[in-house]
Amino acid sequence: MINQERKIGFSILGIALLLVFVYIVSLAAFNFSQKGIRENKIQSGTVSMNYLEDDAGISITNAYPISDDTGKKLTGEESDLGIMELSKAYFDFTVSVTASADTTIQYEILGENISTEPSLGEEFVKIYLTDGDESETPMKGFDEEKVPTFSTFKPVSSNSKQRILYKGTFTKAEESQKFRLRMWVADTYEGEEQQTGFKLKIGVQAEQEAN
Amino acid sequence: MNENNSSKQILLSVLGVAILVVAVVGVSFAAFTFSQAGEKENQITTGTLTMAYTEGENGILIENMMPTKDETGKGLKDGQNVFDFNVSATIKSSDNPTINFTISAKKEESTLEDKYAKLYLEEYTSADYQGQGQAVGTLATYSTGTPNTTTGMPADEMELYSDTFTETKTRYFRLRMWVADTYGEAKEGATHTSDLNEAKTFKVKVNVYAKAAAL
Repeated sequence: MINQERKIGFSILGIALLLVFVYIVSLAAFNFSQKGIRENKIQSGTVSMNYLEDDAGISITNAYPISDDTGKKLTGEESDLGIMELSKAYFDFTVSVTASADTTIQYEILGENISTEPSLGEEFVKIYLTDGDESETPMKGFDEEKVPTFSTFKPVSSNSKQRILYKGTFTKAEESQKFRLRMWVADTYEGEEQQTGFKLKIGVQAEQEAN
Repeated sequence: MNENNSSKQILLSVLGVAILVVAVVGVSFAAFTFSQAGEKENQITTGTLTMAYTEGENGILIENMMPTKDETGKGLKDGQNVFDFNVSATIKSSDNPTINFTISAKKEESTLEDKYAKLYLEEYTSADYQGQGQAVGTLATYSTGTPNTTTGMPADEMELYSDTFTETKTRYFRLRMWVADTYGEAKEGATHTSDLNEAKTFKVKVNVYAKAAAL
C-alpha cells in the first residue's frame, strides 16, 4: 500500500517537474517578428545652377590692374585699357530651387580657386556680383564703394579652397535668381610680371531652415 | 523482483510523459516563430506572452525635400511628415519574464545614398502623441551590417532602438526622416554641377523583432 502511494507520488512529482521544464523552455522559445507594410519615403528637392557656357568659371590672364569703377562696367569689348586679355568679362548664371512647399531655403554661392601656377594672389582678385537683370544691381556685400577681393570671403572650412561669395534665401517652393559675376585685377597690384592668371569655379549649395 | 518491475514501470511512465512533453514543446516552438505581412495588427500568443506591432494610418511622404539641419528635421510634424506606430506586450506571468525587442528600419529601393538619409525615433507617453517626445536610439544616417542576436534582427536592417518589456504595456513611437544637410555640398575639385540638380528618393519600412530573455 505504501509502495503504491510512493509510486503515485513519484509519478506526480516527475510530471510536475516536466511541466515546469516545458514552461521554462516555451518561455525561452518565445519569438516575434513583424514586418511593416507602411512605406516611408523622402525625395530630395533640387537646387540647380544654370548657365550658358560649358565652363562655370571666369579666368583672367595677362590683365592689368584696373580701378573698381572700371571693373564694375567691364563688358569684354574694352579696347582702351592697354594690353588686356579676358577670356570672359563676366559670367551669367541662374540659381533655381524646387522644394516641397513654400519654405525657407538658405543657399550659398561658392567660389573655388582652381588657378594653376603661377597664379595671382587672392588679395589682388576683385569679385563683383550683381543681379542678372539689365539694372545689374549689386548683391548684398557688393554694394559698398570698395569691391571685395577674393581673399576677404569666408572659407567654407578652415582648410577649404572654397569661399562663400554670397548667401541668399528662397522662400517659395519654386524660385530662381539671376546673377552676373565679374572679376578683375585690383589696382593695388604692383607686380612686375603679368604672366600670372587666376581661375575661379562657381558652385551652389543649399539647405532647408526651420519655418 | 516485483520492486524492480515497479521501478521500471515508474521509469517508463515518466519517460513516456517526457517524450510526450518534448513532442508538445517541439510543435509549440515551431508554432511560436511567426512572421506575417499584410495586416495592420498581428499577434501571437504563447500562453503567457503576447506582442503586437501596430502601424499608423500614414507613412512618411516628403517630396522635394531640401538638405535639412537636424534641429529642423526633429521638428517635423503632422500628416505625412512623421510615421507613428506602437509596440505592445502582454505579459501574464508571476515569473516576470523579460522580452527584448528591437525596432528596425529596412531600406526599400532607393536612389539617395544611405549617408544622406537621417532617421530619428521618439517615444511618446500616449496615443495622442501630445507633448514632447523622448528621443530614443541614436539620431544617425542609415546604416546596416550589425545584427541583433538578442532579438533576431538581421544584419541587413538598421537598428533604430532596442529595449525590453517587463510588464504588460503599449509603447508609442514616432519616426522622422529627412535629407541630411551634408547632401549636395559643393565638393572641391568636383564638377560645377551640384548633386542637388537631381531629385533622389529614400524609402524604408519599419520592422519589429523580439525574443524572451532566458530565465
